[in-house]
Parts: sequence; C-alpha cells; structure tokens
Amino acid sequence: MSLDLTSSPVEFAQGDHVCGFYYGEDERDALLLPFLRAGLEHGDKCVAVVDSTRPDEVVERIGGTADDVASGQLEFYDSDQTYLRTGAFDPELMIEFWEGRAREISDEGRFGFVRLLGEMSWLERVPPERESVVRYETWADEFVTRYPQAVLCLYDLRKLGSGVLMDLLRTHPKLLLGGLVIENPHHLSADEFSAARG
Amino acid sequence: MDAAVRAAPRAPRDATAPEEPRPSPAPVDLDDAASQLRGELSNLRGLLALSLLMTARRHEEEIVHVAVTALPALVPVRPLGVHLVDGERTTWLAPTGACTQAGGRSEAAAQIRRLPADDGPLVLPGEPWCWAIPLRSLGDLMGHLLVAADAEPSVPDLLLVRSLAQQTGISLANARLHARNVAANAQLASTVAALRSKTAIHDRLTQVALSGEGADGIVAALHELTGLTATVESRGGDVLAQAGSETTSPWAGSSERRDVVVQRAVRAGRPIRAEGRLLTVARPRDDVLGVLSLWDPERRCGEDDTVALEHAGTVLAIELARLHSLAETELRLGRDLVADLVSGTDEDAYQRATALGHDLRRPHRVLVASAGPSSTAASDPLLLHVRAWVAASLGKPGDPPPLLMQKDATVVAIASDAVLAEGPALESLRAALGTGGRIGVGGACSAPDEFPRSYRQASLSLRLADTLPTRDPVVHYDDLGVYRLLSETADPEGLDEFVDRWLGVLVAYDATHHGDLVTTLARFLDCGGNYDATAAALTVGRTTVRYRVRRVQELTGHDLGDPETRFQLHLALKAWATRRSVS
Repeated sequence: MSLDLTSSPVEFAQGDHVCGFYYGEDERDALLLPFLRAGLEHGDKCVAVVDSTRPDEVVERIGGTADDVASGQLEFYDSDQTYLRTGAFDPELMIEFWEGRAREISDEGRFGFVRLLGEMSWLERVPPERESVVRYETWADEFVTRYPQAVLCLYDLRKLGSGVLMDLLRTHPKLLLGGLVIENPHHLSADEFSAARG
Repeated sequence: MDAAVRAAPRAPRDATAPEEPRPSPAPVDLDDAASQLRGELSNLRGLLALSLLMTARRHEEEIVHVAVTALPALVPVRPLGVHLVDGERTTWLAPTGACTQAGGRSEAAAQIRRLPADDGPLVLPGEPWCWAIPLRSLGDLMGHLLVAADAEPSVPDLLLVRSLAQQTGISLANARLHARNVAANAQLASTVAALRSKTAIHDRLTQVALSGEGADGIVAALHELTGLTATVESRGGDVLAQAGSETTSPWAGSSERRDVVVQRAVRAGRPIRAEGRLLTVARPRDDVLGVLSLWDPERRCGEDDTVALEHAGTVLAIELARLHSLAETELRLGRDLVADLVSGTDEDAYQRATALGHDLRRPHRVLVASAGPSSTAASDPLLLHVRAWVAASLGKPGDPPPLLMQKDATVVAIASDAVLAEGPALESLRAALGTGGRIGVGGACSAPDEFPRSYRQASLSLRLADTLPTRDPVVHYDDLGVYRLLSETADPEGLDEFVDRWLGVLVAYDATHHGDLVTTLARFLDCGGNYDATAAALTVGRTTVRYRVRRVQELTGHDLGDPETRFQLHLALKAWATRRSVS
C-alpha cells in the first residue's frame, strides 16, 4: 500500500480509536506523519509514543520545530519510557500513564483537542501476553471517549502473530485503510468481547 | 464443492407413502445456540474486516501474509502455504509444515495439477487432513491455499476457510490488476515523455530548418538540446560550425583513418561512437556531405541526445544538399558563361556575371590549364586535379564561384586581374601543377567581346610552354616577346616561307628519319652555343649534341659560327614553334 503524503490529511473525530496496519517504514510514515502534521497545523496537542523512528526526525518531517516541543504542543516518548518502562509490557502501568497525561492536559486547559499516537512495533521485540494487549486496547476503547481526543494505534503487520491480528481487529472500532478512516465491522464492545471470549 | 462441504444428498420424498411419526426434537440449549451464532457472526465480521485489510494491500506477499496470519485465529486449521499461479510462473508464499521443503512443495504442486476442478484433498506426509482450496476471482485462478488439520474441520469452518480463500483471491486479482495498471501507466508516461521530448526536438530543429540559420543554427540548437558541444565538419574534416563551451580534441590519426570512421557511420545508418564523439553523417544522396558530432568523451549521451543528433543530421543533410545544389547551379551557370564568353556568342555577359557575383567591367583574363602534354582525355584524373586546384586557387571561401569550364583536355577559367595580382593564386597553382601541368594566361579583357582573343592568347601560351627556354609552367601571353609578334603577324604565309627557307631541310630530315635536329638546334642556340648546357637541357650526351650540330651544318650548309646566320636560324626556329602552336 502506498499513501500519498501530500494528500489531504485523514479526518479524525473526537472519540476515534483507530487502528492503522502497515508494512514497512514508508507505510508507517504515511500513517504517522499526516496524523501529527494535521495536529500541529490545527493547534492540537499531540502525544506520541514512537518505537521504530526518532522523535526529532518526526518533528522535522512534520514541519515542527524545537519550539513546538518546548511549548508542549508536541510531546514525544519512546517505548522504553512507556510501554516497556519495566522491561516488559504491563497494561496497567500504561493505562496509568495515559490516564495521568489525559487528566493533566485536560486540567491545563490549553488545548481543545488531543491526538494520541502509539506505535506498537516493539511487540515483536518484547512479545507481551496476548491478554495484556487485549486488556490495553479494550481499555483504550472506553478511555478515548472520556476526553476530547482521538487515538491512533500503529501496528506493523509483519510483526503480528495470528491471534493478535484478530484481537486487534476486534478491539478497534475504526480502521485506517487506504487513507480513509472506516468503521471496523469486526469491532466488539468491551462487553461483547468478553462474552465472545466466554 | 468438495465432499466435506457438500450436504448429503436427500432422498426424494414419496407423497403417497404414509407419514412416519416424527421423532420428538431434542431439547435445544438456547445458551449454546446463542453462543454458537454469536461466534459465527463474529467470524463472519472478522472475515469482512480481513477482506478490507487485504483489499487495501497492493503486494501479493502482504495479502497472503494477512490471510495465513489470520486463518488459525478464525478456524482450527493450519495454513501450509499458498501456491500462486500467474501465467507460466508459479510461486510459493508462506510455506510451512509439509511444504517447508522443496520436495514437499513439488509433490503438493504435482497433486494440485492433477486435481479435478482445481479443488480437492492432498496427501502430504505428516498431515492427517490436507486440502487445496482455489483462490479465484471472476473465474481466474490465482493459485491455491493449502490448509491442514488434525481432523476434518466442520462444515461452517470449511465455509469460512473457503470464504477467506475467495477474498484472498479477489485481493490478489486486484493487486495484479493494480500492478499491471501501474506498469502500463508507467510505460504510458514514459512513452508520453519520450514523445514530448521528441516533439520538442523536432520542433526546435524544424524551426532551424525553416529559419535558414544553416549549419550555425543547427549546432546551436543541438547544443541547446543536449548541453554538449556540437560540431559540423566537412567530409574533409574542416570545421564548418561549432557550438558549446567544451574544447574538443582533434581527430587522431590520418585522414584515411577518419574516412574509415565516416564509412562506418554510413554503413551503420545511425549515430556511432568514435574519438570521444557521438557522430552521424549528413548524406542526402550517396555522397557524404558533412559530419555532425557531439563531443561526449564521458559517454553522457542518452536516448534523447541520440534522437536529437539524428534529427539534426537529417536537417543538416537537407541544408548541405541545398547548398550543394546551389553551388552546382552556380558552377553550371559559370561554366555556360565562360563558354559563351570565349566563343564570342554572349550578349548579356555583364548581367549574367553580375548575377554570379563577378564584375566583368574590371579587367579579366582567360586562363587555360592542362595536366601536361601527355594528358589528352577530358576525364584524365590529373586534369580533374588541375580543375580542382584552379577552382581553389582562384577563389577563397565566401567568394563567388570561380568562372570555370572544362574544354577537351584543358580547363578554361576567367579570373580578374585583382585576383591574379594578389599573388598566392598563381603561385599556388604553379606549385600544384608540379612538373606536368601548364597554364597559359591570356591578355587582359576590358569588354566581353575581348574574351575570345584572350582565350586564343592563353591557348597559344599554353602550347608554347614546352617550347620556351624558361620552362616556366605558367606562361603569360604578355611576356611572350618575339613569339607574341610572330603569332600576330599579318603575313603568316611569308612567315612560313621564311621558316621553310632556313629550316625546311631539317624539318624534312626529322620527319623522314624521326630525328631531333630542329629541337637540338633550337636548344643549342637558346643556350648560346654551349654544348654542355644544350646536352643538359636535352638530357642527352655532349657527343650527341656535337654530332647533331655537325649534321645540321652538313645538311643546311650554314655556318653556325656566323652571328647573322645564327640570328636568322634562331628567329626561324621561334617562328616555326609559333606557327606550330598557332596551327
């Protein structure tokens, strides 16, 4: 799949929890960069956790500056500071992190909209329990609706096991495919998901 | 449909037969049914999501990867790999299990080829149950998905696998169509770009051809189109026009070597590389009129540059053909004018000469050149050489074409005194003629009706050239002295009587005995009676000269020691030479 980086940015609505699947760095950038560039241009708060790319490269490629980072509009973390803070993925710690950031940003009241991005390519390097990913994404489904925000989760298809792929399809209400955000027919709410898994 | 999926055939119902009591239906566990339905619905929605995911992929490997990654999470089967077919080409993707090894894949492929309707079971080692499911789209077979399980899957599960295979096939077909479209579009874009480029080249060079900018315009356009230094050379290697800042190296080797390269370009019929150049020949007919080259020692020329060079070569051929034709016409007109002038039949010489760039109101002279006494044929190569040298010596580049014609074994030219007085013209002619060639230069003409006289004078001078003691190959009528008086005598018969009286015996003797007494006597008197000088001039021995002189005295009875006798004989000899030349 090749996306035109110069095309109009994908529209994200408040409460969107979107999954973007990609193959390789070019496709990753085609999903990641427009999401953050649009946030920068719209004056949105952008909090991004990246794993296979460097924050300074991302800032440069979306046309941002060190001032945008210093001002707090652009906020970057890598996976070692977040998902793998303890060396392995603990969904509860990650949930705590995002809840804390969302609350602080909301309390600060500087931004009307927040874009959250999580790049999950560390999955292959430090494989988590499948249940941990499901727990995390199921929480995100509900979390995203509580604040004026949208969440984009990026998964490298080359690095996913078969079970995780179907779980991710079930836990994301929307998919970013071909430059469009579309409804995911396989999405289950948290309750439906629990029931389906028995 | 395969046996595992196909429903068992139902026997036709006999309407007349008494109805058997129906068994009571088993109690249904509503929770189980709801759970089963929920699971099936979830799987179908998952299939739909996978279909969306695969449709968004453009590479076959990625589509297959999504399918085989998701499959075990949908149904309890193991994907063994995907065997893709694209025309004659077959590919295995994501092979596992029995298909990991080449032998297993070969066996599986062989069994697939033997399958009726492209669908059916395979028997592979270590796999209790194995099936090849076709990947289709609108009837086109993309390949097969090979799945295995420990036991035959349920009908709903198999239906799900088949549905996934169908979606995979559709996605593969889309990807192939997309790839072909991309390739076709790229090819089309490339063709359009090439056409645009060729059109631009064609337009630019057509503009040059129409504007009459000549060779200078052609090399300027070629340099503009290619960025390389462009040069037009004559066939002989003279640079006619050049554009570009890079300094070109001269041709290495001899002119013969250059000619070999030119002939190679003629045979190739397209630009060739030689001596750091990409060159082509301008060859409107059979003759090579010029060489057009791009200086490209680093071989940077691309396809467009070669096309530009070919187009420019065509334009140059047309231009050179036009100039060549113009020159030929001018030469023909000049030839006709010379013929009319020397024969005295011209009536509007001034106008015709002016049209050719010559002003006959200024003093002109007729020149007659020959390749030498032995050259008698008009096609003598030596004479053609003389003609070329006459043309080159009497005209500089940019001058009007020389007035020139070939008459029998001579070349007749008309040149202005101004050209002849410039010095190098006759000197270069003299040098070019070598030992054999001779030129007679007639007296000056101030009007068209004087050209026949100048022509006769030039012809006489040419014929006397070998008789004169000076042995100069260029003989001016104005310098002939006594020969001039003798040739213009009003009493030629009296002159013949004078010659006969003094030399008649010797002329008759030479004619009868094939002797050289007259010539020997002439040289002897020219050399002031010196035997050694005479022998050297005649290239014979001194004794021979002494014998011939004694023989002359015996036959004529004249005393050569008497000055008056010597003068009369000397004059008679010059009169004899003049009369012979005139006749």
